[in-house]
Amino acid sequence: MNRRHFLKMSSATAMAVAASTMDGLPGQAGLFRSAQAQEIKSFSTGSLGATEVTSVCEMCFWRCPIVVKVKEGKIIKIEGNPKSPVNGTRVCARGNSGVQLVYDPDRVKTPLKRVGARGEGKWAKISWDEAFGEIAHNMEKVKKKYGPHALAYFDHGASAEFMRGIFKAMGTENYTSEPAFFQCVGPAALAYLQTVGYVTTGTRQYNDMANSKAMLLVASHIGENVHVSHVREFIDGLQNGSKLVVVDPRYSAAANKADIYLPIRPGTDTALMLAWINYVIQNKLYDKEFVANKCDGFDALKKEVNGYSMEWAAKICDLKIEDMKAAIKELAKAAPNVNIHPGRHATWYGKGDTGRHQAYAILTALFGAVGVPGGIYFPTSVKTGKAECPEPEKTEVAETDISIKDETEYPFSSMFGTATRDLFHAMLTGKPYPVKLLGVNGVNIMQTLPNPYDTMKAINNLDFIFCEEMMAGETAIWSDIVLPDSVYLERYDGLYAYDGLTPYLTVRQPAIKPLHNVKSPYDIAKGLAKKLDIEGYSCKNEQEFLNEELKGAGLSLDALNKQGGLVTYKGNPYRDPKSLKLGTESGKVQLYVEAFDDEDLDAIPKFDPTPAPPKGFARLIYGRAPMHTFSRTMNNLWLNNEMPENKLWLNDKIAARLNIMDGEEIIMENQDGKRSNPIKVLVTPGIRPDSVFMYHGFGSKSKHLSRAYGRGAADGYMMTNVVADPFIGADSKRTNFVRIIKGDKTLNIPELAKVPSEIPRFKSKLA
Amino acid sequence: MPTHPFFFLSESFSYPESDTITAKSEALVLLAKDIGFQVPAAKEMIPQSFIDFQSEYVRLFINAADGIFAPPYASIYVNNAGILHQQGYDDALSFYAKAGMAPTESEESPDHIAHELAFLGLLLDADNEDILASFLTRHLCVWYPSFLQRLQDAQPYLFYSVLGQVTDLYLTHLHKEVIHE
Repeated sequence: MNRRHFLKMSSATAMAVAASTMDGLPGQAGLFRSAQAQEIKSFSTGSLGATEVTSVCEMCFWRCPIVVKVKEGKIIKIEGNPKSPVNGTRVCARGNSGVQLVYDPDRVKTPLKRVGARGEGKWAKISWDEAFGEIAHNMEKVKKKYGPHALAYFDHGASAEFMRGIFKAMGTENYTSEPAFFQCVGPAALAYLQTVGYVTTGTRQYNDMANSKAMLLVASHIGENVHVSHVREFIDGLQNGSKLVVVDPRYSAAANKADIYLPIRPGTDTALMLAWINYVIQNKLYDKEFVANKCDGFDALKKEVNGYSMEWAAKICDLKIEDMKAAIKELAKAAPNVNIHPGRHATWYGKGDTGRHQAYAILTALFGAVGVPGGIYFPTSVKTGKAECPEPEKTEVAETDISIKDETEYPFSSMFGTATRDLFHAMLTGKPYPVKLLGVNGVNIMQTLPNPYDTMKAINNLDFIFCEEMMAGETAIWSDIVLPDSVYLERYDGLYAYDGLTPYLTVRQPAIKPLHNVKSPYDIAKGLAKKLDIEGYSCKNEQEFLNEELKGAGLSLDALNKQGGLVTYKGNPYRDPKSLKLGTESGKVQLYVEAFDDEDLDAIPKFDPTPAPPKGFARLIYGRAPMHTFSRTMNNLWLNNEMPENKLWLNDKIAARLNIMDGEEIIMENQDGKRSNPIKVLVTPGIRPDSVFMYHGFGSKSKHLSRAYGRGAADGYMMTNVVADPFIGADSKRTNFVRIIKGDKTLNIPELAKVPSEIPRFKSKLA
Repeated sequence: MPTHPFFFLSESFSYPESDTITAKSEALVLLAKDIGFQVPAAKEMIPQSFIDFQSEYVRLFINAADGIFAPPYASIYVNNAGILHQQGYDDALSFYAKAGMAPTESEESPDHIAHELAFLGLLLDADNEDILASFLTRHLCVWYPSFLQRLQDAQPYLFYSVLGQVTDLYLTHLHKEVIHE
C-alpha cells in the first residue's frame, strides 16, 4: 500500500465500501455536529466545586437521603444529606457505590427480546415501541384466552409502583405478591398487627433502640445488614449504656457487642421465648399496671405458657440455664425501656414463624414497652397531597368465581396480597386457575425464592414473562422481554415521607441524564399503558405529580430544594400509658389473638419443634453481608472488590474432624442431593457445630454479570425443603441441611451437639 | 459524501438494524485485500440468520451470554477502569472538543468504538492531521488492542473477528502514516 493512502483515501474500494450499506455511510458522520473548537486541558478530579443534587438512595430499600456530587455531567461522589435526621452526612459502602452502578458496563442498556431458549440469555435489541407492543399484545392475548387473573405481577422496590397500576387496570387480583412480604417480614408483620394493632416491623421498624436501657436481638444481622440509621440507633443505644442480649447460633457482628450471648440451637427460639414469658409471669417481673389495664388475655397466656420451664428450655435450646436467667433478668430490669427487637427477615421455619414474633410482641407488652422511650413506638405520618395522575383511571379487580385469595390454605395471606407460593402453585399446576403471564420488577426471581428448580418449571409453563431491570441478572435471562430501568440517580420517583422518630419529607431526583436507552419507571408504565389503551398516567412527567403531592405539604420541588431537599417535622412517637389506645378491636394488646383461634390456629404461640438435621448433615443458615444488598450488588465493581464471594462458615471442631482447612474449596450437598457451586470454607468457632452459615446473594447463575458469575455459592439452590407458614403461606428458608463434598469424597458432618428426644429428626434418603 | 473506510468500520461496529451482512462482508474482504490481509471468503462470514447476527452483536457488545465480553467503550480500558464515563471517556470528549466537534444525541456513549472511528473519518475528511496523530497516539491506539483482545477471547462470529482485525490493521497503518508525515 502506498504512503498517504489513508490520509487521502478515495479509492474504488472505499466507494464500494460506501455503497455496501443500505443507509450509506454519511449516517456515521452524523454522530457528530460542529461546535466551537476548544481546548479542555483536563477534567478536574475530586468533588470540590461539584454541583450538589439532593436525592434518595436505592442501593437498598432503606432509602437514606443523599447528596449527589456532579461535575461535567458525571457523578463524582455520593454523601448523606446533612439535613437528614437519620443518616446525616453518612452513607454505607453500598450508598457510596451507586456511582459504580450507574457506570457499570453490565447494565441493561436497551430493550431486549429473547431469541434463544428461556434461561439461555440470547437476545436481540429492540425499540421501546416494539417492546411495549410485544408486552401489550401478550397481556391482551393471555387475558382473552385465560381471563384477567392469568396476569400476575411480582415486584420489589421503588420502581415497581407505577407498573403495578397497569396490572390493576387489567383487572387481575394478582398484582401484589411482594417477596418483601411473603419471603421476608410477613410473619412478623402479621404477629404485631394482631397483637399490638399496627405493623411495627414492615419497610420501617418502629424500635427505639437508641433510647433503650436493654435490647434483645434474636438472630438479627444489625451491623451486617447495614441500614445506616438502624445501625446508628443500635450503636447510640449501646453508647447510652443499653445492655445487649443476643440470641443466635452464629457469633454475629451484634453478638460481638453483647453483654450476654446465647448460642441457641437453631429452630428453638420460640421455646426460649415461651420459657422466658413463663419466667416473667411466675416471678412477677411484668408490668402489672400495663398488663391489667392495657392487655387482654393475660390469664389464658399464663395458663398456656405454664409448662415451659427454664430447665426444659435449656435442654431444648442447648443453652446454660444461668445465662438464660441472667438475660431475662437484665431485660426485665430495664422495663419499660426495653427493646425486644423483632429482627427483620422472619421466614425461617415456616410453621413457627408467626408464633415466634407473637412471642416477641407478648414479651414487649409484659414489659410495658409500648409507646415508651426504648420500646416500640408509634409512627408519625407526614401530611402530603395525593396526585391522581401517576396511576390509571380505573383499577378494578375483575370478578371471578374462583379466586386464589379465596381458595388459599393460608387464612391471613389475602390481607396482604397473593401469597407467593399460591401464585407459583397456580403457575405450576393451573390451579385454582392458570397464571400464564408474569411481570417481574426489581426481583432476582431465582435467588429471592427458595427452590429455584420449581421456579424454572413455573416460568417454563408461562406463555409470556417480562421484566424491568437495571442489571442483566438471572430474572433477565429467563424473560421474553427485558425493559431497561433507569438507575435511581437518573430519575424522579414518588415522595419519600419518613414516619420515624424525627419525620421528614424528601424526594428522589435525577443527578444526571439517563445513560443508554433506558427509561424511568413512570415513563415505562405510561408507555405500556398507552399501548394497552389504559387511560390515566396523565402527568406529563414526574415533576408534575410530585409538585401536586408536595402542595399538600405546603411545598413545591423548588421550595423543597431551597431547603436542602429535605424538611423535618416534629415526631409524636410516645404515648402516656394511661391514655394508650391501640389499633386492635379492643384498643388493647391482644396476648390471646382470637382471630387466630377463629381459624383454628394457635391464639397463643406453642412450641412445635422444627426437625433437627438428619444424621451427617448440618442446618444451613444464611444472612446479609454489610457491603451487599440481596443478590443485586455482587457485580458492582467497588462492592465486588470488598467482598467478591461468600464463604461457608464451618465450626472449627467439625473442620478438624473432617480435615478441612480454612480457605479450602468444597461443594455442599443438600438433603435432596442438590449440589452447590464450589465455595471456600471459613473455619471458625463462631458457628455452632450443628449449623453452617453463608452470606446470601452470591453464586449468580447469570453469565451476564461478568464479575458476579460463579463467585461463591447461592443459598437458594440448596433450599428444596420449603415449609409454609400456616397463617400467611410465607416460605421457610432455614429448613434445609447440607453435608460436604471435598474432592471426590462425601463428608458427613459429625454430631457434636446431642439432639433431645423432643425434637424430631428430618428424614433424608441420603442420611 | 464521506467515503473513508473508517465510516464503514464505524457503521459495522454499530448495532445491525438492517440486513446488510452480505454487502458488509464483501466490503470487509475488499478492505482486507486492499491492505494485503488474507481473510476468508465473504460467504463464510455470513451467519445462518440475521437474527443470529443481531444476537451476536448483543452478546459481544451490549449484554450477552458469558458476560459482556467486549464492552466497546474507551472508558473500560484506559487505566483499566472497568466502568463507563471515566478517563477514557473524558479523553474522547477532549479530542472532539479540540477538533470543533460535539457528539450528537445518541443512546451510545461518545467513547463507543463506533463514535471514535467515525471521528477518525471526519478528521481525515477535514485533513486535521495534528489532532489525528494525537488522537491515535494518545487515545484510540492505546485502548483498541485491549478491546480487540477481549473481542477475540469471546470467540465471536467470523465477521466480528475479521472486523476487529481489519480495524486494527487500518488503525496501525494510519498511525504509522501520520507519525511519519
